[in-house]
Amino acid sequence: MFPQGPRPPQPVEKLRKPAVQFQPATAEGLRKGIDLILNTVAPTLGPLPRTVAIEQIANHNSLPEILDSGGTIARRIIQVKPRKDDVGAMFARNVIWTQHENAGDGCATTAVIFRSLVDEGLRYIANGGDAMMLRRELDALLPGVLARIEAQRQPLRGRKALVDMALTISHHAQLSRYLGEIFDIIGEYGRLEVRKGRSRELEREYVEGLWWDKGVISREMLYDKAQMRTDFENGSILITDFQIDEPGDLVPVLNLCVSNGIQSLLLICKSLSDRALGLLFLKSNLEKIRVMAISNPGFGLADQKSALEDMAVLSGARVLLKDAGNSLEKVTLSDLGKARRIWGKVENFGFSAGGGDPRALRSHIATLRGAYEHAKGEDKTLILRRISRLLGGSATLWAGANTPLEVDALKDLAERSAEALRGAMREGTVPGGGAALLACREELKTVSQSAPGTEKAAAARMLSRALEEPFRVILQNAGYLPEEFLPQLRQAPAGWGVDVRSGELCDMRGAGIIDSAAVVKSAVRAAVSSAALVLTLDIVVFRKKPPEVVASTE
Amino acid sequence: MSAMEPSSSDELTFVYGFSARPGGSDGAGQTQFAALTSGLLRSSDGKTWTDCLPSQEGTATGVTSVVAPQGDGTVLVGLAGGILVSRDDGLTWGVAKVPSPPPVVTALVASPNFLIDGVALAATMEDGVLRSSDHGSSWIIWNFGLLDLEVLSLAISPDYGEDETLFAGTQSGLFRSTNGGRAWRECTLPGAFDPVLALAISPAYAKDQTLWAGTESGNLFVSVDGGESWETLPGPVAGEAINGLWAGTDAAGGQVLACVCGGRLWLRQGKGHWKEPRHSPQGEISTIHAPSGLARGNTLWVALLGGAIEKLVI
Repeated sequence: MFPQGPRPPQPVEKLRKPAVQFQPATAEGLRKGIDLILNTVAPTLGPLPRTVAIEQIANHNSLPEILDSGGTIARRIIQVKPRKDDVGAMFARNVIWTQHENAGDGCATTAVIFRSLVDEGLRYIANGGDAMMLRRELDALLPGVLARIEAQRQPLRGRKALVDMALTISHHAQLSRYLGEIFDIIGEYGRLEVRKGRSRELEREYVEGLWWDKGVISREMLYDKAQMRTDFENGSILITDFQIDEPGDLVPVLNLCVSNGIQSLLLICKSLSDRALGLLFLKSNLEKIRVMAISNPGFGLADQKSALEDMAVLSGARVLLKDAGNSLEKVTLSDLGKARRIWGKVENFGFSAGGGDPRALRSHIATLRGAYEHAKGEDKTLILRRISRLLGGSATLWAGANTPLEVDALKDLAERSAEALRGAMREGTVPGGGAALLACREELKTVSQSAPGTEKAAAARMLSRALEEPFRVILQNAGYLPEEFLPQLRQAPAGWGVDVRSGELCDMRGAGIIDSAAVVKSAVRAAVSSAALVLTLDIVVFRKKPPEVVASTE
Repeated sequence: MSAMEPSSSDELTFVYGFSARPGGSDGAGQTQFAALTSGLLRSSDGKTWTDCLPSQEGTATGVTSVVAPQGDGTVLVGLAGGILVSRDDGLTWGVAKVPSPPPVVTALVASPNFLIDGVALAATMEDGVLRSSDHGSSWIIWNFGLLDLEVLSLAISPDYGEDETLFAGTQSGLFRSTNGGRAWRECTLPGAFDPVLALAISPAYAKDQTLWAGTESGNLFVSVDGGESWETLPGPVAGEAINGLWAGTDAAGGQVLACVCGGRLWLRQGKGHWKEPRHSPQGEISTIHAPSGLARGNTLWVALLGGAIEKLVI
């Protein structure tokens, strides 16, 4: 039962004094803090995971948040007590959340590898090992492990493979089928919007052609009043960033169009005054040419400029820019683009079968793809949106469920899964269930045997043990004992693992159990480099903190 | 070799393509169709050709007929502005529903299981690829990923029922679909963007994943992995556009490739050299038809500029 009513007032803790913490308290605090975070995340690994309930801070009376995403769970934990454990906890939290941001998946895998390395590493250091040498050796072994994972990579192709991959990521059968179908159609760069469902069902729909989230400047330009839309066939397109205030500014353009037999024009501009609109709606003008005006789509200057550039490539138009000294007086026929179908509504507009040069379009998309590979954060999202639009179609997934909580969870799952699936499509897949990581142990065994008694051998042993951990945790979460399978797996070919649903050894790829190569590599990289760093922590300095309300213990 | 003149021909008459139905609805052997600049011709004996399109329909740009059991009778015809459908082997015609404004159709292909799945695809000059799933009655645009909407050639996998694979040759190169035309991906051909005018898929594509693409610059490419990677092959005539490609097998099961290049017909056995067949007709060849395949001893229909259609035994 959850407590009812508002919380009683809480006592204020005393000011926390600064302090310096040395070994062995540092190691103990790190281990406890890291374990606290990672033990909440580890149960979410595998196809039979556990969920975690997080109490709501803002509204104590509401239902807790039920989560199965390692990254989100870690993020919700913003502080642990006592503060000597908090440093390790926040370090672990950062490692997991960074993995979530970078790859969208693999947080629990990162967590268990990281935990194993830290445990083994701290034990090694406590027994006299050199932390800095250990770190160097772990960092040196990392490229070899990543190369071994890369060697197992195969491209992700075909609808069945996409569905299998989506199932591995989401563990949601219907969502996997829809995501597999969607990405089979739109491709790894295609535009997918995930929205809260409009019913209780999970639904998807496809829109063919390009469109932008910007509607007509005036509803009078929706010439089909019944449908509240405008449709042009074989229309022309003028793309500018002008602020058109005077009706006279439009006259040269209108004359140009009419004299060349153009009967419909899509005008992209920054703004259009009421006086200028009035000119367009004059009956005598409407009989000669119909104009649909849209203000520059996009948010922010860079986004708007990109949108104009993309429209120009698609339609074959030239972008007229105020800063470049262009004006409506000097518009020529070659500045206008074309499209076989143009449409506009209150909230959006689009066109299809533009008159742009396909070679220029393909080169433009290739350039954007290159930029995408090197971009980060928001830039990456913007570039992806541009590529998606240029590919000429989009899909929408409506995440419907029975309760608002389920809807939010399903939407979040769909978004994460879509992102991870994109990564898998771009970078390929490896055998899942931890099998790809088990296959990396052979080289590490060779290394540890070649230089016994050294930090190199110790690092190789620790890393080998850590790479077994995802496999172990998946089996433990499903209720199995890993020790029952490991001896058999040592004799099995690379890529074999355990299907926890059936409890049998199998070729994981053949059974459709696959992981994204990008996610696995990212998880290993994050875990190893972070663990190598944290093992070198010797002293922690605690700063003075302001007073804070202490949470009541229950 | 024997020649026959279609019922109407002049110097400017050009035959775009042929199609044949095994055993026409009239039961008199193969029913052949030929698409010309002057319309659509039909023959049930290979000697007499008759106009079978209403005269006001104008130029037929391409024709395909369903490979279907005797008695089906569906014929699809592409025009300079739309598609016509016949359900009675070309006796009467209806206008298929296509997106407005109606595009110029450059090629038509039908699923090997057309009778069951009703799938056909049309390449167009301006609207990419149209897809029908109701036996050609209505067509929709479905161009996800097709970055070049000027499609010049289209080829369908003989194993389409299983692999749903198609290839579209466009003004700037080649695209592939592996989901029945619902989405397309670029194929990277060697060299710069080059219009792909001709495509041929191996009859044993399910096993050998082999196909060929011929371009306007005279480049000939082959892929043995379903279009993933490509190699350059020597073409019959350097620098001359490759206007048509057909793939078949000889009696021993070896690959045979036929090509119309530089106005002549060329044949290549396996990895051998290109050769003109003996008794190849005089005149500029626009296209050929190989209803029985490309094995030695089989008969080809060869269309010449001017509209003449000649038989040639390989």
